[in-house]
Amino acid sequence: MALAWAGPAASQSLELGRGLQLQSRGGVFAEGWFFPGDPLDPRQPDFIASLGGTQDAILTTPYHLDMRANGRIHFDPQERRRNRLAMDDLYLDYHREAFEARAGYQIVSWKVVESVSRADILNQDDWELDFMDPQKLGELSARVRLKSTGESNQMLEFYYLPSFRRAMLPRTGNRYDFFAGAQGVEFDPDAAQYDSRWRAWRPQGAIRYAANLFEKLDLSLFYFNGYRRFPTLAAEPSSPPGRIVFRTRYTPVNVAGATFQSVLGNWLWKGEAAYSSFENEVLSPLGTRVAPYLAYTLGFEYTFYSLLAADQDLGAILELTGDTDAGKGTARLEGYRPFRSDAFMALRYAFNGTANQSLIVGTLVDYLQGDLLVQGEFSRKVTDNLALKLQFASFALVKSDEMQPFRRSSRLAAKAAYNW
Amino acid sequence: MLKLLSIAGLLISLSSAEENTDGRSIYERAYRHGRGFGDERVTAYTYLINAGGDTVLRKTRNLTLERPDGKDYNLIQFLEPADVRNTSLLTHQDPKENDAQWLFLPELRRVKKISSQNKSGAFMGSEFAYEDISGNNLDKFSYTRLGEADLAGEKCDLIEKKPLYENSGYTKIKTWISRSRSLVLRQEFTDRKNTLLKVQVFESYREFPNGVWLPQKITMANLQTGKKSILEFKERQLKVGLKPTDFTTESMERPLQ
Repeated sequence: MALAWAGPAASQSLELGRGLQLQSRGGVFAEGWFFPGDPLDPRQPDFIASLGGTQDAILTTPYHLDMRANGRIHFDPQERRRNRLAMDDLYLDYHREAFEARAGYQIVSWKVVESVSRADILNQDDWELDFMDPQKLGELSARVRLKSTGESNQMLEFYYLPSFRRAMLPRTGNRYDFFAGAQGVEFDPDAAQYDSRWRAWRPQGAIRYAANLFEKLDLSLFYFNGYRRFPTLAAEPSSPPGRIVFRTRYTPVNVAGATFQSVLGNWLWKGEAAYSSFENEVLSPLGTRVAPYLAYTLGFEYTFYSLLAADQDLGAILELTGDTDAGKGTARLEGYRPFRSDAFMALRYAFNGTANQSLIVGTLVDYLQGDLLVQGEFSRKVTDNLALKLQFASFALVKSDEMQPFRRSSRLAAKAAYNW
Repeated sequence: MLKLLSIAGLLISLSSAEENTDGRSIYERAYRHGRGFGDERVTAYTYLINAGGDTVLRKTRNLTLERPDGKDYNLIQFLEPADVRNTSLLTHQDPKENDAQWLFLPELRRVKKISSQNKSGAFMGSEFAYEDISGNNLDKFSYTRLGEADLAGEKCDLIEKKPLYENSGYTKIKTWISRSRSLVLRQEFTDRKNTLLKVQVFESYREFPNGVWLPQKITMANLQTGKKSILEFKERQLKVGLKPTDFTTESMERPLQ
């Protein structure tokens, strides 16, 4: 078996002979978060330092079969529960012209918008690691994809997930603890209640159709049956006197939805919508039945080319996100449901040089409740392999009860990443 | 008198038309030399050189499927630098309207539709604009033969092209076409301020089956900034059996071999 490096030392492609090729990419990073505000809970830190790395390897063979292993590691010297050693992807992928089959741990994204996705419903999120930008977690699943041959670009996918993975939620001491500052409240994210006798072994499935129409419109339709990914935080009825114990509750849902993307000149129009209904009867805290609802995110992106200087572009994004229960109090729903009446606005200035510099500023405002989140990021490559990033995320206005635990968790962040 | 004037006017217009037709037919011969390849798989090395001589490398794997009416499909996947490895740009060309384009971002697992309206924008931070690489369909330009020129001892026809499409960064492009080989050797680009902007040189032409001639090296020098980009093609293979299904948003997610 002949081994040969394909390309210069910086390349990560290894010819193994007999048509086998191993491609890999990876990196390490160091990150620091600083919270200027005093914490609501003395157990919450003012400063968090993290180290981490990823390695993604794909073995391609001449037999239409690929294998992928994509893992990551994360180390937080202060909060042991934020340490991670995870495989996000570990799968076999068989692909022919009209047919593909993939099985194993994988991450799938159906997202087309920039803010709140209504379509990214297959993979669980790691809110504990970074509540502001949660990492998707690999799910054990099988996917079969049927593709049209010839000129039309259409596809039909079937997904089967044999088990369910719980959300990873912030705990006591995490800077984004949902109950920070609340007296007499206990929360154990691992104490999960399932509205199915199969519990975590309840199978789940999805179907998705996607097509590109006339080269101008990308459209997808999907249906999912399974647990809603983000749990309801349910108060335990048998909580001891003077204390409230919250557990997570996972409810099976049926979700039918659509996404679209379309370009008209400099305008990129996009949207997602999902109609959710609970498989079992779900009652609100007031005892009323929670009805199905439609959630959506719609918006556009417009680019001003060479606005201030040649080859420097300004992108403007506006998205509205909400659902048909906007304005209803949490007591009339299954639990707290975020993003029911929000607007997302962002500007991205790209310098488009070899340093890949960009500056992004965005806001997310709840136009009914008055909460306002402002975020910004500046990123730049120092060398081809080394990149720096500075970020801020500010809970500039906190009016709703649900956002109160975060009112002092505005943060500044710096990250250095080395890629190979 | 009127009859004489009308005949004279007809003769003048005929001679102008002949000049334009001559320019187009000369350019078309050179254009046809680069067509008929069916499909192509090639590794492209783009060296970006700034005015100080510092160089960075962008390595991509490019697939092209030749289709009727110039509506070619093109898939470019980044191999280097590491942070953009497996990022892919898919283009379905349209000579009459804006190309349809998609960008696959491997970190986010997302395929994003993007606007191709910015034809004058720099590709990969290089001195090649999108309109320089997105396929020079004949009908996108008007052609005028300016005369003959000598380029490094080779006799050339000098053709002036003017973009007929909107949002071009150029008012005109002067093209040197070898008379003996009917190959494009050099192009000079004039920007919207009517100033000479860039010079493009095609080198190391190689003949492939079916009379296809393709350059192995293209240099684009920006005379206004002093920057230069050199594009070298290696491991080029034609007629490898690519199909339309190799140029879909799903195929972008998989590493190209």
